[in-house]
Amino acid sequence: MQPVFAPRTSRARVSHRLARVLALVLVPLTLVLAFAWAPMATIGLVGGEAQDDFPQKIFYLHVPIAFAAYLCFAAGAWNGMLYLLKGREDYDVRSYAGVHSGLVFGTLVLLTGAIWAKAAWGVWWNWGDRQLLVFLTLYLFYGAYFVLRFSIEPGRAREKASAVYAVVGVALVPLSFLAIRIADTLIHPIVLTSDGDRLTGPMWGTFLVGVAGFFALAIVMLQLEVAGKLRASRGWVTDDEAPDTLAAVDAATETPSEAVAGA
Amino acid sequence: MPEGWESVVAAYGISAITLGAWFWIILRKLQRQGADAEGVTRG
Repeated sequence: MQPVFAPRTSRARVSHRLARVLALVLVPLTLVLAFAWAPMATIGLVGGEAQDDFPQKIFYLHVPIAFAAYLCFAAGAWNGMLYLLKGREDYDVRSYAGVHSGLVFGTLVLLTGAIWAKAAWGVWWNWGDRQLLVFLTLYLFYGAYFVLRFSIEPGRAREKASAVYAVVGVALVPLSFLAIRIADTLIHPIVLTSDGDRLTGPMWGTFLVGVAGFFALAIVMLQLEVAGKLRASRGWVTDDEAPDTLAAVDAATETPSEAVAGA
Repeated sequence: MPEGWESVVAAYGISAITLGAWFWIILRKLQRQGADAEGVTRG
């Protein structure tokens, strides 16, 4: 039996496990910090006093997840470009996994954003906010990726078209980030500015831990998606010999050279 | 409870459920396939 692809280096295995540990530690830590350490933000004045803005806690979830979505889309584009340069099938699968994962995180961005918008603005969506529109465009663009991909028979033509589409779409990522800064309407809060912070130290700390945690989580989900899709694309489904846990899976990867030697 | 707590619970709850379900689905898929999480085959 042929291996799906060449075994990972020990350095890559360490980095993958590091991502798992970081995700496992930093994502829950973000929740703890968001509610136990980061101070309550305030908005407006009610009777001469600032009012607590408890829904602002969604910020520590919403923005890191948005960054995770951008990371996945960028991974999809990067691997799409590698596919176009090298023509290896596994790059197509990695690109596909990147877009797929980005859409899952993107869905959460839209959901958490809508909930926050309802609490902060009183509406679920604001069509006048340019950043929302650019992110929605990015989301729908990559949603259409699946329509394109599965409307073409499996093979080189599908892989090439998917790769080009993934590469083109990533141009919307920086535009999405910058849209808020070039927008005429500034209803969407800008917190990442160079001319003075709108976040206090603990808020920044919580936010950065959240970004690191969701980046790590995105990497973990990407590697899981890639492993599953690579196997599926080669038809390597072996229901009768499934390992029970990731630990068993890890044990199987301790000696990758044996796996290849047995191929 | 602070004002707007329902929104915070909804946002964090939906995220936890979605990410948890996604992770579980992939893990189940990998377990069915007998694949490892790092793409290295068992030959």
